[in-house]
Amino acid sequence: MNTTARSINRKQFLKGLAAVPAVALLDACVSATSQPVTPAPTQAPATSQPATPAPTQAPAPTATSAPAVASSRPFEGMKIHMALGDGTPGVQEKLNHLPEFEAETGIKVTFDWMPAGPLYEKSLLDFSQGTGIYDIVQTSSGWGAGFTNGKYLEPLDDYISDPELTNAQELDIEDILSLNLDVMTFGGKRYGFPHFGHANILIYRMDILDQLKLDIPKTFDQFEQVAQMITDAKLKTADGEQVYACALAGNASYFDRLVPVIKGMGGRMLDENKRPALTEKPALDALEWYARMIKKYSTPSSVNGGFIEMEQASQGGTCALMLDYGPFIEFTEDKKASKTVGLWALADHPTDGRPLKGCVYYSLWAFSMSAGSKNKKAAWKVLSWFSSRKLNDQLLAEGYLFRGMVTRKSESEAPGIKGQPWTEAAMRATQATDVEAIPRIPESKQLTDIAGAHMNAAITDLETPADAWQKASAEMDPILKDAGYYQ
Amino acid sequence: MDTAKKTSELLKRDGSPGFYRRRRMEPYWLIAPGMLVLLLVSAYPVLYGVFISLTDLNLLSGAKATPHLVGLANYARLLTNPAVLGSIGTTFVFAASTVLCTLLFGFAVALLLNSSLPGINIFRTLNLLPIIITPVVVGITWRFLYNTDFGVIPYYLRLLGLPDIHWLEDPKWALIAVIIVDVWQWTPFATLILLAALQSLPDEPYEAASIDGASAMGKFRYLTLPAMGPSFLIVLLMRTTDAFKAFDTIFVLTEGGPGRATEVLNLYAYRFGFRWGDMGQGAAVAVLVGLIILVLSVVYLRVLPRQQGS
Repeated sequence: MNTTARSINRKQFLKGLAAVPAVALLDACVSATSQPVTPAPTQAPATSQPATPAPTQAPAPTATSAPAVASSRPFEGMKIHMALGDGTPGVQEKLNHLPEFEAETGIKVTFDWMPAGPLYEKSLLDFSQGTGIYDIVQTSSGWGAGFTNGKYLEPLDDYISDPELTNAQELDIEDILSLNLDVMTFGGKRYGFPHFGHANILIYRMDILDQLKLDIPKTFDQFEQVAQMITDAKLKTADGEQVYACALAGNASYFDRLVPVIKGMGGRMLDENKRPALTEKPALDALEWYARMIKKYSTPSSVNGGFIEMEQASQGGTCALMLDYGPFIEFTEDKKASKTVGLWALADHPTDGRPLKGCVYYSLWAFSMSAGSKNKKAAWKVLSWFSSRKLNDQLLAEGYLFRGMVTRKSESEAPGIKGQPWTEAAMRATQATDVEAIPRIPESKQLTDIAGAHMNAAITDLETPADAWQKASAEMDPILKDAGYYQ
Repeated sequence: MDTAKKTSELLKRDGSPGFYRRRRMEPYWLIAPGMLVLLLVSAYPVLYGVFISLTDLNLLSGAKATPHLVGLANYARLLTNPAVLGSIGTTFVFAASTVLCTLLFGFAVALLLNSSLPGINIFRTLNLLPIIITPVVVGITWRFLYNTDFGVIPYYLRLLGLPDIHWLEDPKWALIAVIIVDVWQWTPFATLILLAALQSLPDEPYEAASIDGASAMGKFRYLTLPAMGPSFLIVLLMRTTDAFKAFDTIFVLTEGGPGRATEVLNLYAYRFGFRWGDMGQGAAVAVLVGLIILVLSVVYLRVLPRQQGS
């Protein structure tokens, strides 16, 4: 009995083991040889396409059986996959109209939602590995230089000018504020359509400034004086919590919030030869000012905080001033989460007294097409619908107000937007932008991460502001040299 | 059937030298499929990572999108980068603190749970909860708990009249805050292994020691601790490996800040590779972390059992 068992263990097991790959190989061969048989000319193409619509839908037309239908719905059955940023205002509202678009075109649109960090990383990996998972990706203008340098995005100009693919009237490019197209233009080619832009702005509590009879600060000095007066007033919320003068972003990832302060004091991140320029006096003054505002007047979590901390403070009413982007007001006006709805307004970002023009950094959430998309024409169809004036007008007609920033000229004239206190400030900020305030080069992400880490080190007293910028410049230097900007 | 009879039967069946060679090879053939899978899923990525670390592959640079060999240039750049060098020190402080605390607290909790009190199984189950939660959720939860403005921990510290600690904003406290979270999450893992070891200890030596009049402390010192040696080694090895690989919780809690107070090496592997597209340097950081873990593992496996023996 035992002997029998042993002989099975040795020989038959080995034979069985050899049989497994043999069977697998055979199976693979059978599958491979049988595949070309499936899409025989007489069969419906649906059998060879796993992306076929559900059985309840009409079968995909073939060129021979239904040419008329095929020409009206040439993308029938195609699947387009989008990568979207969690919580981006206005995206879900647009997607609510997706069923109409799908019914009209026969294109099936699917999407993945993810936070901004993973959105960048997943897009980069998808692009670089050529997996082609995403046909359309939500991109930030800050990522554009790297993505286009890697040839990961599809230039859109040919699609825009193709009348067979584009309904120019519905898309209405002329209606888009030119800045929003410019920031996603690299090497003279357009790589994305704007969803909405961010320009740095002052966000303030109207009621607190009224109560203390304070003017809206226009300069950095005035900002500090106002902050001091709010601090001295020792205000409390209805829940008895302390009201701080400011909530600012001191976290290393938020260097872009310091950029308008640097620009507003006459500084710059890189000089005209792309050498680090943070050690220049204006940039040093800017860091000293920003660190002082955070340490002296801001909510304690501002020191290493970012969006979440500012959102909590503004919605809970524990701060009166913020320096952030216009669309932030979407979150202060969130009726479900905010206790301060209707109390916030926007004004120009302060400067040292110089005109605002050129002091504001501008970035954009855009939608781009992956160069690796396997269905580019269908992807363009989705992208042009998603970015169209027609859809935008539908949202406005439904009463969806996108506060804090204006992407299209028609928006600024729309009822509910025209004449609002934030509209004017948002338009002024947009017109005052310098899209190169953070240089649009592939290395910008690395440079801003380095500058951000040292900005935070200065805020947390790990380094003096002068040391911080010297160390940041020393770390940036080899990167810029290696990239070939200078020797 | 006795061994001699079996051997003679086998010799009768095939007594040629090739038979013995085949028999010697049999175990290798048996483990071959497993080894093949291991090579594919484990060794290949590691070797590929080492290869990439020797190239200039940069995903955001059109010119460097195809890897070119650059020798040890990536390692040289890393080891002259003050930020990376600083993070090596932080990684060691983080790893040493978390491993030591996990081991001590894990053993203490294991001793507490190694009793036959009624309802002890409920506590043993509850003890596992932190391991079950994903590190990102742990990070977000603790970020809210630590929050200086509205967090529960600062709130209770204030109620107790203790000074305000800015856990995630003060560079002096941030690393401690991160270590506390890691220890909280992984102490149950140490407890699990050490509790299993405690429960498998034989009763006889303890009975003999009691008869000889040994005190509880004496039994603990001379019986329990030496018997637990192999289990300590397992915890030490696994936790050291984990501690050097720590990334997600720290990333969510502080992103390496304030300043660079909580920057561990893996944050650089992530930044170089996935944020900055510089896969060559990112892979070099990963290889560096792997080498550190390898060296420490060899030290543990060679030195500690020897010390235990002596």
